[in-house]
Amino acid sequence: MIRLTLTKISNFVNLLSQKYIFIFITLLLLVYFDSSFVDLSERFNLPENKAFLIGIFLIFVSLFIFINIVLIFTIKNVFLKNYGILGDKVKIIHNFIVIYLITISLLITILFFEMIIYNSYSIYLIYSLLIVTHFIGIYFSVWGTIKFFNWFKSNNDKLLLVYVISFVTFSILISLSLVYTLTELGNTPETITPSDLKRTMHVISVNLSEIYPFYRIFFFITFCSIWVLTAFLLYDYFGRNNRLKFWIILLIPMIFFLIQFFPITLKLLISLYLLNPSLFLPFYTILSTITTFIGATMVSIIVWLLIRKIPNKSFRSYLILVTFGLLLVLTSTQETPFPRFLFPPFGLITILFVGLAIYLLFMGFYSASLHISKDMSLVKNFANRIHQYEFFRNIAKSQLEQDIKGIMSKALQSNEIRIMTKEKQHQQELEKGEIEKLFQIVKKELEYNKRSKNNIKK
Amino acid sequence: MQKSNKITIKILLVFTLPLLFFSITNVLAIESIEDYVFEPNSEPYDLTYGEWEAKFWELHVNLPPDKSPASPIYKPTECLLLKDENMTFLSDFYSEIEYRNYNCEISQTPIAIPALTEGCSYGEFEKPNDKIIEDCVYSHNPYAVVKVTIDGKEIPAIDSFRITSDWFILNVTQKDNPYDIKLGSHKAKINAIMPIIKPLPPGQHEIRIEVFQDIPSIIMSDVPLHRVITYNLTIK
Repeated sequence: MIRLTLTKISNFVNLLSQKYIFIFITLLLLVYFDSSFVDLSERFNLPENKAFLIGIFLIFVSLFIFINIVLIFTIKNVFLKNYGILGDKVKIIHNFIVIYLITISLLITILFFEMIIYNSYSIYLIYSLLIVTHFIGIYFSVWGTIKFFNWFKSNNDKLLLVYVISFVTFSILISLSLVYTLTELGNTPETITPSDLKRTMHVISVNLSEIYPFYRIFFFITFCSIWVLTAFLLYDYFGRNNRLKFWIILLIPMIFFLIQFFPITLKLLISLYLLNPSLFLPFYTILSTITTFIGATMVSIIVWLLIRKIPNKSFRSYLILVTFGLLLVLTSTQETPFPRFLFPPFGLITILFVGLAIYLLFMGFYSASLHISKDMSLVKNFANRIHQYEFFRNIAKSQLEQDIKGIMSKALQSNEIRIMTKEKQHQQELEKGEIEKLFQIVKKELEYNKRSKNNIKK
Repeated sequence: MQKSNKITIKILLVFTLPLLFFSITNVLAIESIEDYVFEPNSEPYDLTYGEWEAKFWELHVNLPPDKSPASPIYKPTECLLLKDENMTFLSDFYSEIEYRNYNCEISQTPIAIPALTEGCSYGEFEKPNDKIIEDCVYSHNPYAVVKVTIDGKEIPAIDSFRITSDWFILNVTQKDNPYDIKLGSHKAKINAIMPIIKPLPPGQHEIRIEVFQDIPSIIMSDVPLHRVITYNLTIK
């Protein structure tokens, strides 16, 4: 009976894990309400008693654990059939991420139960969660930087350079976010007990860490780098044909982001309060809580639009992970009321997505590039396509070039048979025939490029 | 029918004209609101605005916790006023709820209206210095819009009343003050919008303070604040 129920639940979660729109919306809503709850509670005068706040936090924790389980299934479904192509390295990383997600889910559950049972919790639980998630984020963002830099070196595609810059900013931003949060928590007692929400938010003097402005500036730079990156992709998608639509879609998230971020624009906005306070206040609350989300959501949706027509399901699934990553990377590094209000720690769950965000972002691209470079039909498919998939085609080319370069340099150093044996040991799976095929594809690609350029000149 | 109409008009005129007269005289007092408000660069009752702000802040932080709206154990009262000799201070703009009404009966005294205040002292920081205090008094106020009305008439150019005091010594005697300031005397500053008005004529008056504040996220992580404090004053 229990087994049957477990199987049914497992099947249900497995089904949900393939509903990408469901995952996307759940993630969006969870992160939005967790990070904006304090603002919304202020505007809409929500109850502030302990039971209500803990009840809300329970919903967030439950959703967090649920979405982690769904994502574990999603990652499994995306990669399971392709370990043969992607190699054991990806399998190891996948298992590692599963353990990571289970660990943070357990830690947040312990924190919640401490709150219920002891009416307090240990600050060390928060430290553990922050350190684990941020280090995972830093690890994958550094790896992403190196990978994109290598692709850029062999390709010189300016979009790849934007990705290099983005991953560099992710690394710095995540490091600053960790240092800032830890500094803010520096004066908190070892045991966190309930406190008055509004008094904490508005009355107590703010002794902000000196790292805060740097953290915020890097958040701005990260937003800009992702914005530029989106601009390139969007331009490739329909910017060539519809400039007006291109600029409108591109400017909306930037305007929303800038309004709240800087003193001058914010002063202009809040001065509108005097025109009509009753209309202004609800409008402002919604605006102020969705600014970051509009940017992140639009960037993700644009990428989604770009990849939805890709015929290869595996390849498309990798890039779906990228859209989740893009959504989470901006939202999880935004500032939340978390370091200031700790019982319950609203905003913490948002921050906990930082490691997963970078993992999804990096692994999405990395797996896609590995897949293209190992799947000959996909290479041809991309090599024969027009501009829309230029970026992904370039990644594939770079990955191919890197594989070939590695093999060729080894072939120059020793005899080919030894190299082939070595390659087999490293599970590169590239036979002599395949290398020849690759050369032919690259040659064709170069000829195609030449022809295209000549046609443009004509 | 026509005769009855004329009678009705006459009756209306008899009753409404005196009312109109009284209402005009009342409005006249309010229309000249600028005459009631001391200029920002003036020295009402021989003290500068900054010195009055310092006096207010000391009274405010030393309020018993159950009488201070900033305290978690605040018990709302019908009226909340602070007094310094002849000056009547209204309550600070902050209250635990968005809309707060007070009904007070006062004598004809000048009134200080603390529409926006931010006081900071060495007593509330672990490692304080002058820069920390100066940053602290400007941490929220520049990002607030304020509207003060007296009997429905708005004090014009309210931003010209944004004044920062000189350094002063804040004497803290209230142990459980809501700002967690240590007991003793501390170097302090305050930035405020606190217009001071001359004694209002006897009768009913309404003083309304509206504040909306939000801090740019590049400066601070904060939650937007909207407060409307209304004082219904009976001047004897």
